[in-house]
Amino acid sequence: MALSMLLRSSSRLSPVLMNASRISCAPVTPILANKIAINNSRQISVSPIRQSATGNHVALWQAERALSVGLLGIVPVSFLIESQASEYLLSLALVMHFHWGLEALVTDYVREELFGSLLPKVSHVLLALISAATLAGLFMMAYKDQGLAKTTRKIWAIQPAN
Amino acid sequence: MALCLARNFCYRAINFNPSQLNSSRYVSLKVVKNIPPPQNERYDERGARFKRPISPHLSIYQPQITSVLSISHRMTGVALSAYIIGAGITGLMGGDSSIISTIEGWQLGAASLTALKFSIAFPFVYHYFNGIRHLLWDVGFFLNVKEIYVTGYAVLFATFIATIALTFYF
Repeated sequence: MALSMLLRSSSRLSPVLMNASRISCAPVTPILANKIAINNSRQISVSPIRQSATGNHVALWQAERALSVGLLGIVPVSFLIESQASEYLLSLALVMHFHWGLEALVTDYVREELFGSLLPKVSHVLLALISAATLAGLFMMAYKDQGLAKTTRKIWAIQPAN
Repeated sequence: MALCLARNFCYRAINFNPSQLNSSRYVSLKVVKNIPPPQNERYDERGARFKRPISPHLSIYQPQITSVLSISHRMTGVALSAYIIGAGITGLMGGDSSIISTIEGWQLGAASLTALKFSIAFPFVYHYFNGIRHLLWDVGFFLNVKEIYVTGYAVLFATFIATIALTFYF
């Protein structure tokens, strides 16, 4: 019982330590033993240090948001004002947007814990190939004057069979 | 704590049964081969090894407008990607036959054409408006619960109006 009282009071004695998320030890004055200095300092951290394995993601995130804002404008404009140039721009913007979106999907759901170490990498490569193929196909369509916006307007204009 | 110890000893002194002093029982030891547990085993892998059940999660959590709109944003995005990928791959391999001639070849009736237009318009409109909501969050607006719900209902209302307009009036 005395031991438990001691343990309870010790936490009250150091509230600062309880709230600190990162503690670094101040360097201890080196011990000079026989004129050899021993450095006893070490950086420690109480909370986990998060480091991304693939580098700084911030620029990519900002690019994704900028592209999304751009798409908000490009899609209505390319449907209202039809031109070859807007078809190419629309195709490029759409493919980049869905590539980044599907990449997030694959990263979220095709995980190493569930599928082993090979399948996630294969999925990412497959996605890149699909995006490249789609871009090529859409550019071919735009070249033949069958761009996405024009084709969609034509779908809307199809009359019923009877 | 000294009091607890004293109480424990007193209980055992009062309820002492002398016949239990000499009682014994036979035990046998089974020799089992030592199989060390696998290295770097995750928590869920260990649970699966012992065939432990998992608590329900998705099946019992109340669907809310927050989670439903979020997963719908992802699902409509996947649907739109499928449309665009389909169009692109068709354009890559189609040669001279275009998407229009393929669809006209199906000879669809009025109702099927309306359904086709709806299936293109609805995911696009919903993803567009919810995308605006996401971008507003990314710059810091509408981030408390009340505003999340209000903007969520606004997205649903706008989607409803725009889908009807695109499907039936264009």
